[in-house]
Amino acid sequence: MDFTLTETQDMIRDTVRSFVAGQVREPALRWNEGHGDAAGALRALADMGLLGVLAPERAGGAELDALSLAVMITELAEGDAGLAAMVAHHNAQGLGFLLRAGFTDTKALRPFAAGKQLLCLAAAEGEAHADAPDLSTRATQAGDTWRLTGAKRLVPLGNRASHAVVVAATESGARGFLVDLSGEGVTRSASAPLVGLRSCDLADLRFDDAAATHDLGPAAEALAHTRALGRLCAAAMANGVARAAQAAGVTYTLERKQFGKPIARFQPLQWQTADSATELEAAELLTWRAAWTLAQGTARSLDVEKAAIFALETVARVTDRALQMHGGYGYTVDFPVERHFRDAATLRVLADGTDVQRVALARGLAVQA
Amino acid sequence: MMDFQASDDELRIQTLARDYARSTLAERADAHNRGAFPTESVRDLAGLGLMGIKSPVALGGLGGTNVAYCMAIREIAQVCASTAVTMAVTNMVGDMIMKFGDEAQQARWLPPLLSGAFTAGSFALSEPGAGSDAASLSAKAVLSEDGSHYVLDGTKMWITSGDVAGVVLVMAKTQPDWGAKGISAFLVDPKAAGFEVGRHEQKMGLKGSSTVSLRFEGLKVPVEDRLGPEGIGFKVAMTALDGGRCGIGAQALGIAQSALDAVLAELPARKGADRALQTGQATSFRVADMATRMEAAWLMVQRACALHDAGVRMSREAAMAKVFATETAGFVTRTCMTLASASALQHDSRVGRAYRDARVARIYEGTSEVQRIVIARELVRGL
Repeated sequence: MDFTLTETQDMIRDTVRSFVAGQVREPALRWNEGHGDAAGALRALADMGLLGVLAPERAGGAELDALSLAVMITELAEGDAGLAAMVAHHNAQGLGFLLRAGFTDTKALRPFAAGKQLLCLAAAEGEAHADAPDLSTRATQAGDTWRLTGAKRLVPLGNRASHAVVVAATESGARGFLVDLSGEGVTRSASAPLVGLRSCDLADLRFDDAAATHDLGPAAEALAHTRALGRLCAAAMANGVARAAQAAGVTYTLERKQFGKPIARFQPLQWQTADSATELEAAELLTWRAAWTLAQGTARSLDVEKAAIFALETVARVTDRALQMHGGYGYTVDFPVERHFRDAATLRVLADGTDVQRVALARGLAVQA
Repeated sequence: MMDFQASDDELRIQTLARDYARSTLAERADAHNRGAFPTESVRDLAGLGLMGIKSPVALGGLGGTNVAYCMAIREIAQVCASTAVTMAVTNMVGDMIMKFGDEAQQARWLPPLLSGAFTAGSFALSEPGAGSDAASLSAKAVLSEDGSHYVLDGTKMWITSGDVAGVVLVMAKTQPDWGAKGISAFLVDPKAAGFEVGRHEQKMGLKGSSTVSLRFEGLKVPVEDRLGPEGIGFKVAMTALDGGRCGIGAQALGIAQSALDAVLAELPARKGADRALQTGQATSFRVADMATRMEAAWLMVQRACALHDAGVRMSREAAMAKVFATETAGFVTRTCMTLASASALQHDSRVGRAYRDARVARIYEGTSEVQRIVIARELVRGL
């Protein structure tokens, strides 16, 4: 047993950490207030080779494993959850689906793996799961071409991506299709802003007889894979947000004086700090173990659900405590902790909610029993 | 004899607030919570007497009980928490003028405060360096040599309605070295020279309520505008907060109710994998837990109010009610954020707004930590 990162993973963590310190933490305050956006940061990450983390080297990707991805997403989320969400989505959902679906057109893959073009996955339709029988987006074959009609909501990167992998119902079940989002029959609009993740590009997409450029085949297996990666990334993001909030809380309680001493010297606040640190550590270990399991390529395990459930609930508690430590200041936009508190409750839109995951986990455990 | 039934008078006041909240206020709530101060709505509330629920009818109030007050706050908060907090602070200022003011002060300040001639009343205790440690405040009021007025200097922070109020109840030190016993209370006219409104806080929630800092520079307060004798300022503040705590508990429960109602309303329409959650026991159990805790919290709020109405000291009960009700509201709004559909997580949806609005209830008018200090002190001598 060994809990250390590889040299490459260490390097990625350090690189992203200094990138976040220099180019994310400050501007993130503005991105989340609707002033400017993270486009520049996304380009910089592309130049660093971090938008094709899982893609093979022959297509220009970094060909790294899920643990590297998780480590990187946590670091990004410590600076800005919305940016982390977009990076995770492109890597693990858009590209993740293409790769798992066996898409081998290297030439078509290359711009995505290099991050020159962004790719989103339009699978969920608001409430319904993509593989649910009542998927309302439908695809029909006309000659060689598949045509799609339907609507998807809250699609990360939906406004910026050049292409989307769209999951649609066909007569033979759900299939994935690559769709050029600048093509005819596609309309996209920014989703109504959510409580948190304000810097994340979220779009509502409509397809009216839109043509697919590629048929990616039956969707079930690739979807199961991207769902696992999505849950892993949600856990990784939760840990990053929690870490940022915890650091802010500790810093504040050491500086703020009441009753003649720093409030960090009051026992109840010490307990809160200690509990947050412990829970955060457990969440990170569960997340890394889940990433490691995925990287082993072993049969579907339930580790991602355990990690995501625990991490999503941990981030809610940690951000809540950190905000409380700030008192009234924590309720203002002058301190980033109010954003962490809002992000914490909104992360679930990027994966399934913890309740859905509990059901999945319980079913999986029953099968194993 | 124990009696859990509200009186006819209390029910009448509740209905007054409910009818207004669910008609006119409901139509405006979205606009109020996009950052527009609810000027018209607070004026409407004054017209209904709801800015002085406990104040005498002769002065423009409703002559109601603390129980009625909390029932009304809860009704308003369920529709618009920003309006509710503006209303709560105005009521609190009126109550302190009734309790500690002389007849001349009551006759001068209460009619405009309660009739809506003043947009709001404001309460200024906290300072940048004096939050939970309220007695350490540094604003000071120095009596002039001829004894005709005080000169007020200092900075106040987190002042609800500080920029729109017609009267601000200010706590300041008249004896800087005497700690809590050196604090006095003043009724300050914002039109006086030396009264300056500072920054408007940008808050996570309660977007429609105004929160500002205030600066007093050589502000002259006539000696007749001191509320009660010198040195009772801290007592005035603590008395105000005992009553205020129940109001915040009621407000928090109104917010929680709005989130729960929104989630329950959309459950039958949920599709896909969420259908399993809607019909599943896990969801029903969560709903049951939320409703049960809210009921218990509401009883604690009403008990503290009933003791207050009976003239019994209720610091412990009020602190318990506040911490329990506001933490319940935190639990309920957080749970609703996990239960609601993804599209109900919008910034301005009922659930999204409730999540943001409820959070401050555990901070203002005494943080949860301060409530616990109060409770523990009342239980264990010497703490």
